[in-house]
Amino acid sequence: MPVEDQAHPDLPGAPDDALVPVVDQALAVRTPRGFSLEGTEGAVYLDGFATPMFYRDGHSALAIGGDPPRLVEDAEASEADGPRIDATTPHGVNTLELSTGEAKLALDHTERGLQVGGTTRFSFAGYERVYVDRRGTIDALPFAFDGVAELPLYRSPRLAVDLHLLEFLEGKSGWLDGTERPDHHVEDASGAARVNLLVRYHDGPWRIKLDRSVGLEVLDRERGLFQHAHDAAVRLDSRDEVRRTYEDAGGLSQVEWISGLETHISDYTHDVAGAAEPRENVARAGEVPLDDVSHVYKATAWRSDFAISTGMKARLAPRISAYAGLRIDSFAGDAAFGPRGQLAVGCGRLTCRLDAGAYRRPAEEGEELEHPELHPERTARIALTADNTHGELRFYYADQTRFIVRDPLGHYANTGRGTTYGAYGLLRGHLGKFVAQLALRLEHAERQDAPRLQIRPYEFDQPVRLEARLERVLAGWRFAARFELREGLPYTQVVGAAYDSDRDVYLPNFGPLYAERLPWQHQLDLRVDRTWKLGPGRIAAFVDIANVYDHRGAIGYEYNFAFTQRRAIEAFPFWPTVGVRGEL
Amino acid sequence: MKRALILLVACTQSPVAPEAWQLDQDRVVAVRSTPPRLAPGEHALVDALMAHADGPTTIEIPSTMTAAHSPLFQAVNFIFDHWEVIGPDEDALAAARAELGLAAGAPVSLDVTVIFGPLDGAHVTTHKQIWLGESAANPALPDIQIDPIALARDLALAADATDVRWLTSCGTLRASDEPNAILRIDEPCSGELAVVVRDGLGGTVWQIQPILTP
Repeated sequence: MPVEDQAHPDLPGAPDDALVPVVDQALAVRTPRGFSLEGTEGAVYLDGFATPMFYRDGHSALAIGGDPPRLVEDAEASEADGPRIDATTPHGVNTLELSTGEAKLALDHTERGLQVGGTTRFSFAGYERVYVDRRGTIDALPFAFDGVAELPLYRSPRLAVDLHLLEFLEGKSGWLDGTERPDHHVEDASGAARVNLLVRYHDGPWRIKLDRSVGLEVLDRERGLFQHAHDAAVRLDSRDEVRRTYEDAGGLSQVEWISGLETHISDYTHDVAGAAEPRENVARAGEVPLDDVSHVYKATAWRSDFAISTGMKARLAPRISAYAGLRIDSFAGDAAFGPRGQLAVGCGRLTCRLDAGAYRRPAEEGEELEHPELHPERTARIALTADNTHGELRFYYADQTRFIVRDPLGHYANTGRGTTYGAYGLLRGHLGKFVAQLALRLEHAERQDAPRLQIRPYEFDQPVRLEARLERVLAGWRFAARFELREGLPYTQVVGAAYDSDRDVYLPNFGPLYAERLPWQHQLDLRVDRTWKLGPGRIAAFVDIANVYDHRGAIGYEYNFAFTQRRAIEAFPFWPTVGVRGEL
Repeated sequence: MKRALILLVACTQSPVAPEAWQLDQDRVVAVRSTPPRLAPGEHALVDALMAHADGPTTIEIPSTMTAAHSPLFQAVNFIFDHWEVIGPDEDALAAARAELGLAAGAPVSLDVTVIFGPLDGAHVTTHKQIWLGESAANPALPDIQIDPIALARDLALAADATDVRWLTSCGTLRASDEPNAILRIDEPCSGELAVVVRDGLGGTVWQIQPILTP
C-alpha cells in the first residue's frame, strides 16, 4: 500500500529523493546494492525492465531524476510476470511507473531537476558537494545527467506504440584522504542507457503487450595506481504478454487468463583488479588497501534467461477471488519452476489475502559472473495480509536456499540458506485536523552459510522498525513531521589484526560474523511547504529539516591503521534544506 | 553489473588515532629477513623493529615462526634458541614449483607467520614473505636528508627510494609514506625519527635517529 500519493507529494526528511517512496513503503533498509525489503534484496523494475541503481547523496537512488516515481503494485501482473528476483514485496517485485508530468523545475541545494514537455524529463547536476556520513565531503567535480523520454509513435483506439528512452550518466572523483596523491586518487564513472519499444493492443476481451528493449550499462572505477574495474553489459530483453478476460467461464466470474513469454540475454564484460568484492557472508572493516590486487579477472560472459508464464485470476464467490500461476525459467541450463498464487477474501471491512510464491535470482552480480557453475538462488515466500483503507497487517515468512556464498578460501558455492519472518502493521487516519500514519515492522532474518555451520543474523537484520508521520494542510501551507525508530544493524567485531610487513598494512581479524549490533537509530524530521498559484502554473517553496534534535547514532565504525582504535561513523546530523519549485 | 557504485569519499575528518606515523605506540614497524631471498642452503634470520608507547624502539626476534600453508614449510626451523629459514635444496624447490604452477627456476614465495612475544601472553602476529631459490641481500640504506631539527617550522625529510615509511615520536608527519615527507615539531621533545625503506623484492632496511629539540 504505497504511502506516496497525491495527498503526500513530498515526504519530510529527504526532499527529491526518488527512493523515498519505496523505502517508506516498506520501511526498507538501504543496502550497498540497493535496498532491502523484508530482509531480502530486490531489484527495481521500471516500465517492466530492470533499472540500474546507483548511489547519490550517500544513499541509493534510481537512475532517474525529477519527481519521485510512483510505486505501483499490480498483483496479477507481478505474479504472472514474476521477474528473476527474490521475493520482495508481497507480490515479489518492486514496480515503478513513470508518471507523465508537466513542465517542472526543482531547485534546492542538494539536487536540481528539470522536466519539460510532459513526457520528457531531465535532471542535471553540476558541481556539488555531497555530504557523506559526517566523514567529510566530496570536494571534486562530480557530474550527473539523467534523462527519461516517452515518445508516442502511433496511436489508434486499439493500438499504441511508444518509444521509451532512459539514460543516466554519473561520475565522481577525489582523494581518499585529501592528500591529492595519485596513489590515493579514486574515480568512478557509470552510465546506462536503454531504448524500449512498447506495443499495446486491445480488442474486446483481448489485451496484448509487446516490449522490446536494448540496454547498455557501463561502470568504470579507478582506485589508486593498481585497482580498477571496467565493467559493461549489453542487454537484449523482450517481454510479451497476452490477457484474455471472460465474464463467466466454468462457473466462475470475472475470469482473466494471462500468459507471457520473456527473453533476457546479457553480454557482460568484466575486467577487474583489486580486492575480492564484498560479500554478505564475509566480514569486512575499514578501507580496502589500495595496493590489494589479490583478485584479477578479465573475461566476457553471456547469460540468458528464457521464461514462459501463465496464470488465471477468477472470482470464486462474491467476496472471494483467487489467482494461480506458474513461471518457468531456463537460466542457461538451470530450469526453475516458480508457482505463485493468491487467495483474497473479503472479511467485513477488511480484505484478507494469502500470497505464496517461489522466485529465483540468477548468479549475475559481480564476481558471480566468473563462476558459470553457480546456480540461481531460490526463495519461497508466503504472506498473509489483512488491509483496508485505514491500515494493513501482514505476517510473512520466506525460506531462502542455494544462497551464493564465498568461503574463506575464496571459493563460490550455492551452500547458503536463510530464513526471514516477521509482521508488518500500518495504521493511518485522522487525528483531529492532522493526517497521521504509524508503521511498525518486527522481523527476524538469519543465514547459514553452509550445512553444519553456525546460524547467524543476516547483515541487514533489523528486528524493529517504526515510523510515524503527521501532516496538516492549511490554505496553501503544508506542515509535516516524521519520526523514525530502528534497531541497529548487526556488525562484525574486529578482535585483532596481523601486520603484513611487505605491504606495510594491518589486516583485521574478526569475531563471529554479525554477532554485535549497532545502537538504536532514531530521528525526527520536519517539513513546511508553501505553494502559490502563478498564472497557469504554480510555484512552491519548502523548508525541510532532517534530524531536528541532532541524534547521531553510530551506523558503523571506522578504524585506525592497526585496528586498535575505532570511531563511530555517525548518522546524518541536523540537516536543513531549502528549496523552490516551479510548474507550468 | 548491477552493483551500485561505491561512493567516493574525500575524508576531511582526521584519521582515527593513533596514526601509522606515530612511533609512540605499541606496534610492529617492520619485519626484516636477512637475507630476504635465499639460495639453497642459505640461512636467514628474522627480526623486527618494534615501537613502544612508553619508550624507544627496540629490535626483537620472533618467539614463533611457521609457514604451515607452504609446500616448503620445512624451510622454517628452530635451531637451539632461535628461528631460522634455511633455503631448501633444488629438488624441494622443483617440487614446490610444480605444485604451485611456477616456471622452472622461478623464485618461490614462502609466506611466513612471524609472532613476537610469548604465545601465552601479549604477542603480535605478523606476516613476512621470504623468497626461496635465489639469493639477494637487503637493500643498502639510501641517501637520506633531514633538515636540522627546529621548532615550529616544517622540516623536510627526503629518502632516495620509492617505498618509504617515516615515523616519529615527536611532532607530526605529513606524507609519511612518501619519499619526501614533512615533519613539524611545535613543542620541545626528545624522541626518535625512524625511516623504513622497502625494495619491493622482500628487502627491508631501516634507520633510527634520535630527536632532541633545541
